[in-house]
Amino acid sequence: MERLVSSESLAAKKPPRSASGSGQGSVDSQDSPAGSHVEWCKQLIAATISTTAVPETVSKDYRENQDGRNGSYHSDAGPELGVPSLVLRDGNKLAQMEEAPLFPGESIKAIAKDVTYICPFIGAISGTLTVTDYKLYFKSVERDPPFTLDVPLGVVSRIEKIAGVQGHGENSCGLEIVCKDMRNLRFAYKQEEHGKLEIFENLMQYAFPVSKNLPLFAMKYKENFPVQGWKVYDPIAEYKRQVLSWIHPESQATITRCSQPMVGTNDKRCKEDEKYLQTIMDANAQSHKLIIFDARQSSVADANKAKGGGYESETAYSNAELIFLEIHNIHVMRESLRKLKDVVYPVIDESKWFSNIDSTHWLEYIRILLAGAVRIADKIESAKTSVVVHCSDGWDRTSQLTALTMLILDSYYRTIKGFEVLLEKEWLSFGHRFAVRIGHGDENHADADRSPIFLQFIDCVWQMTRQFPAAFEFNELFLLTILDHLYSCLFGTFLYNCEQQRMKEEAQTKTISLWSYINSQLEEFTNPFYVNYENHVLYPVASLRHLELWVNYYVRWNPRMRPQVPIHQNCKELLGIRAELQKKVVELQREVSNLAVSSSSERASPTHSVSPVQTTV
Amino acid sequence: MLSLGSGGGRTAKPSFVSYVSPEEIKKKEKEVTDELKPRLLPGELVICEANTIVKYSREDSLQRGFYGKLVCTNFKISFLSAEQLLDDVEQSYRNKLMGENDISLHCVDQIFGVYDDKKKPILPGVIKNKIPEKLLLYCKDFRVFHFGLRYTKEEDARRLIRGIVHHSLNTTSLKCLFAFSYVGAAGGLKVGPVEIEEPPPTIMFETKTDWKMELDRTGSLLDYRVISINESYKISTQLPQFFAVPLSVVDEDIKKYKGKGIPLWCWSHSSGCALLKMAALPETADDNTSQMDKVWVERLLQVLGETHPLNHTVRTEILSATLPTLQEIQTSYCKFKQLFLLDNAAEFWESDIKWLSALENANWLEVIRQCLKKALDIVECLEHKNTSVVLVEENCSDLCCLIASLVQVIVDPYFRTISGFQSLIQKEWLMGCHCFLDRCNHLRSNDKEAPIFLLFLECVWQLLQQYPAAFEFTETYVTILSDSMYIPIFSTFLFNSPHQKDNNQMLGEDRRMLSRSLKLPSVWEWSVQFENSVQALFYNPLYIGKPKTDQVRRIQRMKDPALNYLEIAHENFLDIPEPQRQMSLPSSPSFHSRPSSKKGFLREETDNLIKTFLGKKISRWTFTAEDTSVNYRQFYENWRSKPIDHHGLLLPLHDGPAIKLWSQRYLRWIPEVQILGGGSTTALNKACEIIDEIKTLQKKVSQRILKRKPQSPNNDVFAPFHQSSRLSSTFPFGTLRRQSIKPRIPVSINLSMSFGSMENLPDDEEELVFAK
Repeated sequence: MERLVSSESLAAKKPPRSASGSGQGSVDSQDSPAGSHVEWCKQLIAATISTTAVPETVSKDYRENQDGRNGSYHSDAGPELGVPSLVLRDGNKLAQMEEAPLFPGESIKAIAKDVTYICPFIGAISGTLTVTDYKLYFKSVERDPPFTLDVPLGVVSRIEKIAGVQGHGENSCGLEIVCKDMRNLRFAYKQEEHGKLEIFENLMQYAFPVSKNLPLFAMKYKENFPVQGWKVYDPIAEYKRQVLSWIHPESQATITRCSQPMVGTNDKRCKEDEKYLQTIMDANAQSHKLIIFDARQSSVADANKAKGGGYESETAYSNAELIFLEIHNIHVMRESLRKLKDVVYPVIDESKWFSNIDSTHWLEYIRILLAGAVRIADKIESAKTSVVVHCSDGWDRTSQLTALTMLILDSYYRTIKGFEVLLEKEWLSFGHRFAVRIGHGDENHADADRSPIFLQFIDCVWQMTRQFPAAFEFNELFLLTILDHLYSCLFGTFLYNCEQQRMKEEAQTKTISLWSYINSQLEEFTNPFYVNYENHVLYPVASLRHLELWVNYYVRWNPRMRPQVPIHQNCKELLGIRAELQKKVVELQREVSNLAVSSSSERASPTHSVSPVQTTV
Repeated sequence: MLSLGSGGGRTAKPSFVSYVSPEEIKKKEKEVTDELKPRLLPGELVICEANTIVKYSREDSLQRGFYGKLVCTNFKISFLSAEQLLDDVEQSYRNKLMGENDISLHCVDQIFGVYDDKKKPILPGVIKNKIPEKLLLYCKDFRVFHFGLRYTKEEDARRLIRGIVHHSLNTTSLKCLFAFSYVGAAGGLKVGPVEIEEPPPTIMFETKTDWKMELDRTGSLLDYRVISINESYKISTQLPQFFAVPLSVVDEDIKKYKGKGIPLWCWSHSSGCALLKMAALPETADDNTSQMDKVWVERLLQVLGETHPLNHTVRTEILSATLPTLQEIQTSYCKFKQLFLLDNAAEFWESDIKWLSALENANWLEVIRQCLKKALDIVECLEHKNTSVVLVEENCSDLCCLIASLVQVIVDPYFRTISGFQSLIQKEWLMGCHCFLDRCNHLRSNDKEAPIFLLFLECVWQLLQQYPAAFEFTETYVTILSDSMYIPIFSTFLFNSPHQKDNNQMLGEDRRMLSRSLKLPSVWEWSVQFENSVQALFYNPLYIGKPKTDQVRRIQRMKDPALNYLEIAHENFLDIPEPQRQMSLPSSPSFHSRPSSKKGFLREETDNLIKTFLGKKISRWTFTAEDTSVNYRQFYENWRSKPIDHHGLLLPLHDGPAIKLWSQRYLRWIPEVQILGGGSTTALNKACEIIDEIKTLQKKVSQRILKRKPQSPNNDVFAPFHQSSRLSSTFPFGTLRRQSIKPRIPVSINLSMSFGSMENLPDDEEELVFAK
């Protein structure tokens, strides 16, 4: 459900629901919110392909209510508000149908009937707005199929109330909700009806729990997944050397990361550091050189000297070559994304599409990042040189670059598990400050430390999956899911700034890992075209000719941007047929050999099962 | 095994050692001269040639090259190299008529000479006496050739340049086209079989029966009839011999203005609505006459509406009123194509930075969008509004062909099969008298050039990438079709009308005798160009093939059982729910537009609030801003709310991001954008592999069921893709050399600093952290 939104687009796509609607719940994913995420995507896919399969999951909302599975919230309802749905149930049928489904651990905080959602695409819609400690849920049965909007409060960046507008003697007010995931929501409702259940205050409270000294929802979320995601990454097994990110299996060339050296205006030197780098160089017998990649623009690195920072001087670090990758800072990226949002939401000026995208520079920055990663990878692969990568702090651009470089060089990171390890290693354990960069639960939307660094990285990964559609084990849904839960605060994975904070908050015991959810249903996130490109270095082409705006992410709220028919679906179908046939062959073989045995006339041979075709390129 | 990135040692930079040194050349000159003979087609003659010419390789940053001989014939310009070993090229794709280093004379777009490091265009008539150091040939299929002339004998070089310029840029005449020497000389050879033996047959629409069958297929025999009044082009040379018109049109009407002002039938919807096209009546100075003409046309159209049982309406659509003019289309394409004709890496990376804006400025994608929108508009009439549409254009042979055929691809799944698509082009373009000769400018004699047919292929490509499982053909098929326009052998693209074609194919005195043997091949005779293994690249492994299992399909299936695998599996073995699909024609729309209930949602007070609240931005937040699209909004949204039926309507998406660059066609020869080990081919490859595996399994299953002994292992592998282990994004076009597998690194990253106005932002870094 956290996949929100899309209901806007979804509303148009869902097959009509039957009023009674409770079908036989299929999948166990029914229970998990995660499941519903997948369901949503399934519906979307179903809506876009030609197969008949009308997803029977559409009536899930009702089912959940009728099963009383969500009864948990009664007991769970915080002391601050016991409103719950009883109120609603006493009300009219219509309102009941507009009730919000809940996750285990989630409780309703406020309900408002007769709220108008001003949808930029289909106009104003009237329905019931529910606020829980996890999400904002709007549903209207005025439309067929019913319209729903399901937004985790974690994506909310800013809430504004426009109060006291006098219209025909009634007191109305408006809400504008700015989201971190490329959309804004606007609601209007009549003031006095909501005297008791103040939507606005509850929104403020649960969208920004950190500012209000409340726990993030991930702490309350109770769900059991068959797979324990916190165990995905074992640092001891995974890396044995400090800050060493990766070592080339053959050449022993390494990627090492760090922050900028403390050179300062006086060109201070640090013997220990010089020695350390010398050691890195010496460890690689094949090359007598070390290349230091400074992600920043050279001008900025210079400026940093004034503040005690700076870059390695080539005289102090003998045999070291310093290369600047000219990547802009977090503020530039934030501004670029802000502009991008203006261009894609809500209305697209189609005749100016390209120049508008161009003017945001978003793709240009993606290109520079990819180009940087390609240069680093090339030094390691072709020149067999060890590299050191840093920016200023060593957890933003550095993480982007090292992680991308590893994706280029090592096919392990292109698997689902490998990618999870990559994120755990290069992003989480090296301390990308997720809490600060995203601003989880914090109402200070103008915080200058926020920046879409991780989003930009995932975008780069998506660009790579576009260029190498068969080289990654995961699909687009996997990347979308990661981004959705980057903001949702449902899982503990991306909540904190560093390992230390994670320990202090006891993330591993008190929250659930995103990987628990994902690894419990790998099927959904698997790319059917996947071919293991073992030992293959895959250099993406860092040219704007091949970079595309990720429409299925940035423009997904626009119902006209229906996701393209996933050709994956087709391939999955083929895989299904193949499996069926394989089964049949095995069956027949068994039959034949049985016959052979019973007649004992023939020495039946054939029990070699069909080995799946292994592709190597 | 492809071992990407196993570059040796520390040769990070390409070695700038030229292959060419004068001594070396002297040594080898003789061999080169003697041994290299161009491969000539029947009727092909060498016009001039020169030795010791260097062909520089773009892949090697133009620093290295091969030397050899450059030959100009009456068909092509051909570079022959002694050094370039054939086996270092993966021969997955080979054209029988054209080699890798052959350029058909009609494929030459621009010629430049490099004089003292300056690039200057070489035009016919103004050839300098001075020999350029380099000769650059830009091709219409976007190859760019760099030939070095420094070591060539001056007189040879001069003669060669003259020859090339004359034969590829100068005006010529129809009779001089190579096609005629080719078929003439091929006399006995099998070049142009009269019957196309390739199943499934492409319907040529050259006979009355073809038209009847098409009327029958679309269920419109009762309302339309085929007329043969123009047999032997008695009435008009601007009409085909046979065509279909509404029953209400009588022969006299057609004679009146030689077919102008008559609605000609294109296609019928199952609801009875039809798509027709009409040439505008000639302008007359006399008001009276023109008034009478108007009345006459109106009556014809009125009758058209009335005769129909459901009494639907008729809409006339004057295409020139809303679509760009041919001149605008041509201008836009000229600008656009220049974006892909690049000389070197530096030029490439420099242009990369402003790529998106440049793309937009060329306006070509916008032209495509407008065509798709227009088609969408017309589809709505047919599908939803119970309205027949008559497309009107001055000659009824350009935009009419384009829009009429595009509409049919959108509404009728038959036209998304290979044979259907080819038949459609026959019906709308060939029999629609599209002036291929003029529009392709094969004679280089006029200013009537306009890439209208290419524009159609562009639109089809857009649909193809939006709905990849709905087409039997691949983008490779479409790209190859676009290339075939510049190979002047096929009757398909050489004439302005069927009349001109028929007239010119009868050479010599005894027309009847020769007419058979002199028939030029149609482009649909793919075996003229390609072996079966290459033709297999035309078939989309992801196609959900469920058209009618009629005879045509069966023949085809026998030809290649792996095609439409899903279908076979459904029928024979597995109880997999069939994808829902409609009959071969979409049924009439079953939904009705709901009355707009907008008002109902907007309580008055909220309405008021919204206004106050949204203030100036109101237009941005309500859909009044999209007024233009409101017309088909309901229809469009309704369609989108349903699962896609690959065998029903396929409405094109046309919003900003939906229109994309046909990168296979435009980027395939640019080495900088080649994705080694990547590209969409890799996914198709996987699909082919699965299909192969399924086939093997299926065979096993049937063997078991029939209790037959296993046959010898089957070798008929479907997947043409996976024979090549070295896939790249440009497959099957860009041939990869075995050397350099190096990433392409933008040459001037610093350029990126020079733009962007971020002056309001803190330009210092994040706060420093004293970690050490």
